[in-house]
Order: sequence, then structure tokens, then C-alpha cells
Amino acid sequence: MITLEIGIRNIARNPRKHLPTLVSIAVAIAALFIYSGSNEHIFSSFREMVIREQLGGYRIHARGFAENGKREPFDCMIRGLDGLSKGLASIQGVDFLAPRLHFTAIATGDAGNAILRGFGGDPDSEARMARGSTLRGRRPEGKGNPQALLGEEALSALSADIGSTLTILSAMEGGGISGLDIEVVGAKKGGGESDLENRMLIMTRLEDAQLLLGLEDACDTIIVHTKELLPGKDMDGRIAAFCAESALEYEKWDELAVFYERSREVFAMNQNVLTAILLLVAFFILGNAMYMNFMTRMREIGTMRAMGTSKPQVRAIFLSEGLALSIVGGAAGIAAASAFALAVNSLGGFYHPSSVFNDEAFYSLIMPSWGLVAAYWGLFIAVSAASSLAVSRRALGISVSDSLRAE
Amino acid sequence: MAIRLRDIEKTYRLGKVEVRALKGVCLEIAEGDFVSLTGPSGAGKTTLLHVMGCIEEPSSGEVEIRGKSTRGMRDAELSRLRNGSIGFIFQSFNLISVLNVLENVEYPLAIRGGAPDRSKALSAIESVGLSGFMRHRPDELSGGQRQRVAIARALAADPGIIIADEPTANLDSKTGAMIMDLLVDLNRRNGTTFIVSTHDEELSSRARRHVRILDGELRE
Repeated sequence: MITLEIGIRNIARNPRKHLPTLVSIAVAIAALFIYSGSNEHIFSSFREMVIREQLGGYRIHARGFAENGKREPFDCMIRGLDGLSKGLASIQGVDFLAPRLHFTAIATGDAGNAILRGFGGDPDSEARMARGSTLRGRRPEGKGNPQALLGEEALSALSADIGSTLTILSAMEGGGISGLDIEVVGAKKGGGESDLENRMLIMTRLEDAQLLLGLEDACDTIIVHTKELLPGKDMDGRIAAFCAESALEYEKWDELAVFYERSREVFAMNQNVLTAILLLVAFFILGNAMYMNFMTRMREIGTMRAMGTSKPQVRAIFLSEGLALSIVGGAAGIAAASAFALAVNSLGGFYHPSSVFNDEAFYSLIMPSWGLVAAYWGLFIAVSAASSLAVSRRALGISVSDSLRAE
Repeated sequence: MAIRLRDIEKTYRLGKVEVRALKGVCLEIAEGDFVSLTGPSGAGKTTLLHVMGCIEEPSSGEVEIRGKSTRGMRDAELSRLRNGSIGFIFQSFNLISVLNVLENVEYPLAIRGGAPDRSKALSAIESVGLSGFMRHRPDELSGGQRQRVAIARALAADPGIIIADEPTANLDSKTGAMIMDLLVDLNRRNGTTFIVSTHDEELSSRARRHVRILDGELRE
């Protein structure tokens, strides 16, 4: 115990000497706290956006859709939509449903043609899902003549605008071609300059899409939104049971969120690289500080060894110094970063302009995972232990006699 | 016999040059003896003390401490031997700067594990007349007081042998004489074996036995 106490006192009694090392560790941990905390919030917001605006908690299709849906879409329709919707909506934990019927169509305007891909959906449900996208005009809604929302670039290609009437043609079930005159009521522009949505998007009411494809009471996809953003295993079980009974199949959001998962992996990799660099720097800073500390106390260490202090006890002195530096430095870094995060969050967060990833500008907060912060702290403690032991190894490589002769 | 040295050779290699610091040294020191070791700088005094104190391994020859050969001993065994049988007093006092007087004196007992026997430390501090300075840190003491703390530290573990390397060299003559008086007194009272190196012939004369070293060879 006395050896541990000596190590800790060496740090406590020489605060000025150890301040640069403490500050280095504090800054490194604070940087990781802020970087990971910001990423954590960006990705949790991104995940929420992906689930609420795009994927829902589950996507339900007719059985066989995954295998044959693209080749034989009319063989993989959900028929008897009204009855199934009632059944699904009654499942505990379901918030609302968004049935969709996808189609591809050729659109003809006053001065051009365009191939469009999109879907017909329930206006109320689509309105609940469509937060945050840039919109001109309005979404298809209510009753009356067929109406559509198109991507801005699709509208340009057709030399059309809000209020124009387009003729759209599509293949019907059974092989015929159907045509529909449809009024443009809105335009949508995604964040990307040349993304598919801008060039090809068409959104109609479900009934218009059904009319175009010659279907009744049918769709190809039901998006299930749950009350909990991230549905658990109980919910999975209920959805699976319903699908099994109703000849349906389903995919959960995380099976579909490929872009989200890949983005998260890239950011996680960046974060790991940053962590590794900071840990390496900390290893050398700590090692250097402790070696300099040892050089000034070489005779003291020699004296301790002369009095019978064993090698493990000398290691314990170095270890306690390293641990004290990383524990105190880490705590200071976390405290400083917490205060910074509190200030940033109370001011509204970091500003992120719109980009290919996000339609609209947004503010990200610093919301770290405390488990991750604890893990970073633990890693710095482990690195300082390794660094201390490396220095103690060098110290113990010097004979007691030579240590005592040191000035 | 407290210490027995047989044909001790110690050779250092400084680059391409070999320096023979000790040349076939044979020496026997009885229990309770007070030996002064004198010689000019570079004669090998410190090397000989370090070999006797088991903190430096001889190139050849054998060291026996209280009848036990140190040949082939591992580092942990040598550490235990030093802690239990040998106390050190250094020219520059070599106190642990972050410990107070009591903690410094307790240190050799504390590293044995478990709670140190505080009564031994208190008794050692009392025997060097520093009872009023228990909580003082080394930088709050004079040179003479620091050396007395170092003596108390060497005594506290009740080692039987105390090796003092020029213990008065950093002290003024009056304080040096007082320290020498203290060592002689402790030798008489406790029967502790003292081996004291010094440049000072007057201090050397206070010892019962004189050993002189010159160019790594003993001249008794």
C-alpha cells in the first residue's frame, strides 16, 4: 500500500509538473466525448428519420414478394387490404399503417415524356411520414380527380408545373395498358442534386394507383409504424404471428436500412481510428512524462530498491502514478466535455447545412453514450497502465547501484 | 560473522575500456563491529559498500551475509535479505521526498507487507532525537536532521548491519561529528554492525577497526 501511496503522492504533490500530461489526457477524452456524442445524436436522429419517414418499423408484403415481387408484381399483391389493415391496426403496439402500391409509368406532358416510378398511398399516413422534405404545393389528398406529386426534375423534364395535367400510362394486371389524366398538385425536391427521387418520383393517392393498375382493395406493401420507435422482440412476435396467419411476409427496419447501417459503420470506423490515434499519442505522452519523472527520481527509486523494495513494488509505484494521471485527467476531461455539451445543447446544438444526406439543415446535439465514454476512459486507463509498466521496465533495467549514483 | 567477502572482483566496462574497481578483496566483519572504510575518491569505497550491501553483484568471488551466501540469489531474495539484514545511510540522505519523517522511517517496515510496527519507527526516531519532527517533510529539515532521519530509517528495520556511505560528507564539521557520535553510540547500545566509509581521518579514528582501500585493494 505504501508504494501505491507514494505514487499517488508524487502526482498530488507536483501538480504543475504533471499538468501538461493531465491536460493532454483530459483533452483527448473530451475530444472523444464530444465527437462520439455528436455522432451518437446525429445517428440516432438519422435512424429516427429513416424509420419515421421511410421504412416504418416493419414492411409487410404478400408471401413470396421478396422472391418474386419484382418479376411478377401482380402475383405478389396484398389482396383484401381493408380487412388486413383492420387486423394489423388492432395489434398491440401498432401506431398507424401506410399501405402503398408501387408502379412505373410513362408520363406525357405538354412538351415531353418521362419515365416515373413511385407509389400511391393513403394521404393521411403519407402526411404523417413526410416530415422534413422540401415541398412545393401540396400532397395528393381528399377526394376528386386523380392528382400527383412529382420530383422537381421530373417536372422540368415534362415542362410541367403545379396545376399542369399529365397523362400517365402503365401496365395493368392482366396485360393491358391503362392511361390516366392526373393533375400535378405538388413538387418535391430531395437534398441531392441528381438523386433518383428528383428525376423520377411520382406520388399519388392509393385509389389513383389502384385505378391505374386496375386493382381493387390491394397494395404491394404495408408500412407498419409502431408506437415504440425501435420495436422489441415482443412486437416482432406479434407481427410474425399475424403474417403467418395471413399469408404475408415481413421485413424489419434494420434489415432494410442498408444506407443507415453502412453510414454508421463508416463513422464508427472513423471514430475507432481517432480513438486509436489518441490512445497512441497518450501512450507516448504518458510514457515520456513518467520517464522524465523517473529520471529526476532515479536515486530515490535506487534508495527504495536498496532498502528492499521489490521489483513488483517499484512497478506498483509507477502504475499508481500512471493510473492517477489517467483517472484524474479522464475525470477532468469528462467533466469539461459535459459542461461544454451542456452549453452547446442549451444553445441549440451544432449547425449542419442541408446536404446529400439531409434535405434540410439541422442542429445536432452532443448526446454521448455513457457506456462508450466509460469505455474510452477505461481504454485510457489501460493505456496509461501499459505506459507505466513500460517505463517501470526501463527503470528496473538500471541497476540499483547505478540508480544510487544518479545525480 | 556479519559479512564475509572472498576474492571479490568487480570490473566495469566503460566503452572499450575495462576498469577493475575491486581486485580480489577479502574481508571479514564480525557482528557488532564498527569498521571505517577510507580511501581517496575513485578507490572503490562505494563499489565495495554496494557489494557488501548486496545492491551490486560482484564479477567474481563470494559474499556472505550473516553466514548466508548471496551467490545465485534471485532479485526477490536479495530484496528480502537487504530489507531484513542491511540498513543503508547515504551521503545525500536519500529520503523519500513525498513522505514525512515518520513515514520515511516506517518505509522499510511498510514494504514487508501488512501494517508496519509503528513502535519500532517511533523508537528509532526517538533514538536520533527527532520525536518533535514526526510530521515534517524532508524539505522542512536541516541537513543534520535529514541524516538523523536516514539513520532512524536504517535502524527501524532492526537490520543488524548498517552500511553508511560517507554519511557526514554533506554536513558541516560540527554536525558531522554529532552524527558520528550518534553512530558510535548506536553501535555500543544496540550492537549493530556499522561499516562507514569516510574521507575524514578524524571521524575514521572513532571506529574500532580501520580498513583502507586503494585502487580496489584493501590495506588494513
